Amino acid sequence: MDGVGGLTQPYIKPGETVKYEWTLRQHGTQMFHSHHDEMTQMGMGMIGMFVVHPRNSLPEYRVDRDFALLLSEWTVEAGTARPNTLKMNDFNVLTINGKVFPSTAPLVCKRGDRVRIRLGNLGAMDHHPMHIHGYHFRITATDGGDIPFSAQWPESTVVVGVGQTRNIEFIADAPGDWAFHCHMTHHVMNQMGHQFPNMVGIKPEGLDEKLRPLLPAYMTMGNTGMDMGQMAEAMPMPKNTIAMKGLAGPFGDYISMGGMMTVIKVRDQLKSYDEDLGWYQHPAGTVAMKAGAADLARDGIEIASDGKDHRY
Amino acid sequence: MKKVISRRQVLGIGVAGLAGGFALNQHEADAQTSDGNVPDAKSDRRSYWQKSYSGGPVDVKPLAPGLPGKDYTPVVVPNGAVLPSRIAGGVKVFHLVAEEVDHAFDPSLRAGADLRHQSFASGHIDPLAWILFT
Repeated sequence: MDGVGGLTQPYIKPGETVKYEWTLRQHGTQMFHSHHDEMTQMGMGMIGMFVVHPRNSLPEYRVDRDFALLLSEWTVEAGTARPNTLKMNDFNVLTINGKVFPSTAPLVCKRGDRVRIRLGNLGAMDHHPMHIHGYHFRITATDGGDIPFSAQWPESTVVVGVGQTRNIEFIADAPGDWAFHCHMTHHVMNQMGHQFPNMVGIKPEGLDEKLRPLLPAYMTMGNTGMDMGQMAEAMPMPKNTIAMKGLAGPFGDYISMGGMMTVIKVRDQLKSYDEDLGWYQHPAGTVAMKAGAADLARDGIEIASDGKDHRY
Repeated sequence: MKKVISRRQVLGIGVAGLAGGFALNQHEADAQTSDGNVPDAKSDRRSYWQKSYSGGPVDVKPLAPGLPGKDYTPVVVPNGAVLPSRIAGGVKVFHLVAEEVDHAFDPSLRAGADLRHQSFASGHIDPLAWILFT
């Protein structure tokens, strides 16, 4: 049954229905996918997770929140709507359960919940080091089965290779809005392009204004860090195209991430896991803030009065 | 009648169960060990060469299909869907249909056969993140 078209079974031809019938004797986080012209068929989304729970589970198996997330990657050129599965590199749409941030639904937990996240990767070519802010976790199972407790190790980033699954577990004992994302920087952007000159370190003062009479939509990219959300507001976008990054966040700035990213929302009180929680209200003293003159003086940090760096 | 047994007992009995058809519910033993590899009963050392076949022991009788909320707690699938199932003749039945769908990665970014597909009034289940349970 666990087969490949042509090797262990005939292809399933258009219009045919094929029966797979077998007994599940194991449990774990598994996946399923087409095994015929995988580049096209898996690349177009014929993938899924196959979760098998144990019978008469032991107390340590039982969790309050048991999430299943399937990672994948696509190439959709800006202005088009047909994923190009011929692309082997430079995937530009990186998804969790088929969505990119900010459309990924948050993982909602109540403080103290025991949480399991099952991660699977059926993307074409990239592994994904999945990182959780605020928590460390234990890696408790792979696609081969449970890891004995004595062999589990703590992590804050778990690599999920192509074709692999990983279960991670932690106690959601710290309330907050915690980012959960692939740590590959190009995987937390949407439909990024790479055909730009390298502008890092360039100071293009006045350049944008000079060029705008000629190119009304011109905006120099990436000299001090791009605010992609703001850029999306200012620049005309092709049809059916998402901003590289961005969602207006709780501090007035855009959240400068996209792609393979979601938020774990942990609250002290919850009416329901389906509740729209809004942004976390940070207790006083728990948010990074501008350093005042008194702070700088106390810590012996000198800043030029004009605020510029004169070391160069 | 169901006995309450510890994990260690389960691990220890596993070998006997496999070898001699021990009276213990072998499903239970297998379900509780991670991979079917059980410690050697005499030395308490783990035998790494007992079996590798992912399908588990082959000489067990199927149980009635597990039911959500009763036999297990279903997983949560953010943005996803649980593939519906039914029980037919003691077997849990799922039906997967491979077909073209329209999909939204985000409201601003859709994938379909053609940009002309603007209504996206499709009743199809999104093929991504179908989850099967047992």
